[in-house]
Amino acid sequence: MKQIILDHLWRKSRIIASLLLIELVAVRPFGTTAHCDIPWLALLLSIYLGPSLLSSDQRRGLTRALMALPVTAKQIGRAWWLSTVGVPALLLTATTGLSAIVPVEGGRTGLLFLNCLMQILFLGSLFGLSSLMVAGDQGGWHERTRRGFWRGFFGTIWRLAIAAGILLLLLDFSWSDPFRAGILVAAGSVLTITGWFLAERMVWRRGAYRPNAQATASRLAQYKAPAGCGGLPFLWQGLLIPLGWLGLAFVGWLVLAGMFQGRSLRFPPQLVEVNVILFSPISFLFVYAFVVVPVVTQLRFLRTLPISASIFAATLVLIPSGSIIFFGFVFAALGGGDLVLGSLLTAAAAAVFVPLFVWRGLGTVTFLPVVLLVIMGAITFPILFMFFELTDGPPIWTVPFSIIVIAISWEITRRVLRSSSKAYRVDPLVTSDWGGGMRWS
Amino acid sequence: MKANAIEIRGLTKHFPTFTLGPLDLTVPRGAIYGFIGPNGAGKTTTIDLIFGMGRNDSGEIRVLGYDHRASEVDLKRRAAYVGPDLNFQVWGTVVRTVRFVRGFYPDWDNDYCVRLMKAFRLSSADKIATLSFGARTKLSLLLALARRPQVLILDEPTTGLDAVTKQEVFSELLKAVEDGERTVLISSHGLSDIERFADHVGMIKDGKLLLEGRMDEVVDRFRMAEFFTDNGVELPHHEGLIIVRREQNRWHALLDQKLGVHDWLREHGGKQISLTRVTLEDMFVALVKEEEAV
Amino acid sequence: MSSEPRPLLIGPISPAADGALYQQIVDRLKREISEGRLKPGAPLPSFRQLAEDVLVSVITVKRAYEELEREGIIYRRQGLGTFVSEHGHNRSCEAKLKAAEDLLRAGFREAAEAGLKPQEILDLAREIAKGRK
Repeated sequence: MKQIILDHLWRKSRIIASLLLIELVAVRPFGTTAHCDIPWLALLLSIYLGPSLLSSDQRRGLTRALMALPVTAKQIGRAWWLSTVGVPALLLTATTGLSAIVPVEGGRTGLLFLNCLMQILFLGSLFGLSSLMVAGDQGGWHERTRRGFWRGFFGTIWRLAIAAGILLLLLDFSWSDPFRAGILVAAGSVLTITGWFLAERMVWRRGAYRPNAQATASRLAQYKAPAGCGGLPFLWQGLLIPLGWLGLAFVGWLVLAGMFQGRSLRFPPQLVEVNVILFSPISFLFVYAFVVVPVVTQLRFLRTLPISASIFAATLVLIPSGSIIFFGFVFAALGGGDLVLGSLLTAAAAAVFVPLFVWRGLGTVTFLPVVLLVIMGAITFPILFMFFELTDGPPIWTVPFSIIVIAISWEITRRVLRSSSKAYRVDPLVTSDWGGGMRWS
Repeated sequence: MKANAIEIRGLTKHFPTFTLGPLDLTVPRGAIYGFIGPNGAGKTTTIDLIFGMGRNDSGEIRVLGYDHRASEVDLKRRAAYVGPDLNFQVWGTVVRTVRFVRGFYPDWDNDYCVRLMKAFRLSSADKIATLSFGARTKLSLLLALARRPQVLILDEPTTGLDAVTKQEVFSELLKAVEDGERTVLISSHGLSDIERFADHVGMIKDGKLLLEGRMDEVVDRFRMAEFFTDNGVELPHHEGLIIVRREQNRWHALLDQKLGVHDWLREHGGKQISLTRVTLEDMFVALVKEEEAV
Repeated sequence: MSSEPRPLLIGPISPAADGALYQQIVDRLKREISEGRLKPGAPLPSFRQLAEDVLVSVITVKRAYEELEREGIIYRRQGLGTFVSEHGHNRSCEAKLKAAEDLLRAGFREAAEAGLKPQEILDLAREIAKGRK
């Protein structure tokens, strides 16, 4: 069991080390970020690597590999809990304790500890939620519906939780209302403890892969050719639906967050700056969901379609960037027009990720630069704003800047598609449904 | 004189651990060409390069006369690809996958598509995640066949399939090339299947083509020889004599009849030479292990 | 491409049976012709059609047809197809007779090597013939 924890931490540690370096070099000299009372931002963000590293490992078949070893499922599950929740909790407490002894500029110690607790509970909740998610596809229609509902429910909560976690990090959560705080603490604790006990079940779910027999012995078999358009328009159409849901979820989240903080329904311009800081990690999620998932698992096949590399690359880049700009317009209707400019920057950030994912897919190799980019994005904008002493929002030069970045990204993606062999070497475990799989709709 | 379906000339690509080429390969129109070779010899790489997955360092590939880089879209409109790691899970169901792919090909034959769905027992509403491995392969094949391609390029389509599914696959392939205009390039490890169904064969080893030609001519060219030598007689290396096994004075070797090895052997001390015909697999194993046996 | 199933012309071809695949096709077609199921002048399926029916490569069928053509049992007309020749039946029967003769000769040789005298071999043959009836 110790080995499993150590292995997980070792793989994280390289990323953590780089983040620490960036923190020391790029952030510390400028002091802590304006809205954060949490010290060692990089270390903190690195803690969130835990759940995502774990889930990507699970998807790539780690569960089955571990189950072949002389460890019980319970031990595996508990090891996972410890490495994603336990150890980070210790680290968090330690660093918070340190900052209590060596006070941070403008820090409030009591709040620090509360924030620390919330982070730990949040991590535990993430773990707890993922152990509750169901896997598998067998059964009749009523079983499938039930599963589909729960999956949708937990999936939404999961996605909201990730957004919440990021918000928690960066926004100043006022704990003035003890009732609200109490609810969060209670929910977080329940989920964390549930996670510990359900960890074993998670291992069984992820590891018990049963190859599916072909399901069509049933009388429901019908062989009909599909109606309707196909090709790239169908691809775009298939994206608008989950995009729509995600958009609604985001708007809903922002409204909820605003209400929770006691703000009015209108979005003040200050939210722009926060959005832009927030959007970099969000843009990563966008790209992950809408480019990585459909594309990386299908890159070989898509390459054999009769479309030129230019169009292919344009589709790949515009899917995330276009969606973000679309959201920018949606937010602009709610807040100020500056939000469109903010979204352009984010769209540019998303476009930068695309060639990276196309080139390397879902490996640890991609993971590190992506995290770096996310952190860089999150750090650069406030620095830029401070530098330019802007309070009104992004300046007009963001428009050509974003367009140029997107264009460069398109060109690089095109070249990768045409010339790289590595891009097409897909990890076979990723394309199979062993313990999670990737679903789009 | 019809243009060849696939023409590869001087194809070269360097990898850190392996070099492909220079490779010359020709697939005549209307043929079923079996592309065989040991693991890592370069079969998948060659096929990948046809579709532009990676850039070759030199040489050219022409499919139906279209260059694979300059006219890649025209090429892809006429050539279909089936590979082992194609995954359509993202689309959810069979019918949505069909709908997506159909939109790219104006020559799509809906009736044929439905017939194949019935033949392969792939229902419209089937979720891709619930399909067995063989069913997924059949789906990939369906998507490739229903668009009536002029050239079908299959990279190990029969790996991991049970015997029934394999026969279904070959049956559909033979039906597809019935008009004599369509061509199939199939790379596979199932040598007995290739021997039965393919009319041309090309064997690749260490990135180079070892032999190529009509199936019956190629297999007829070789014989398995068993012979004896007197004590202390060592045979010098001769092209066309591939020693498979040796126990003191008793030798097993693969003989290339085209190079007159039989006579040479008699001259150099081979006695009681008996020759038997070989299957494609016998030939393949001997040729691949050649370096190890020496 | 035809979608209706064609009538079966010859039985299954298998690597497990005696002889190369093309030889099996040759023998089967000869049987069809000599037993009158394929009449003189009747068309034979195209290379590809037979290949598809029997699940072999086109080359194998071509080789079988080439051999039958060489023996004069079938003939090809450019653009029209392949047909059983007028003397196809006879030639088939001739070929089958020759094959039977060869087998009998081989049988006699084996029996002689086993130690039987010519009279004993004939007795054996008579018994086998009776047994078949």
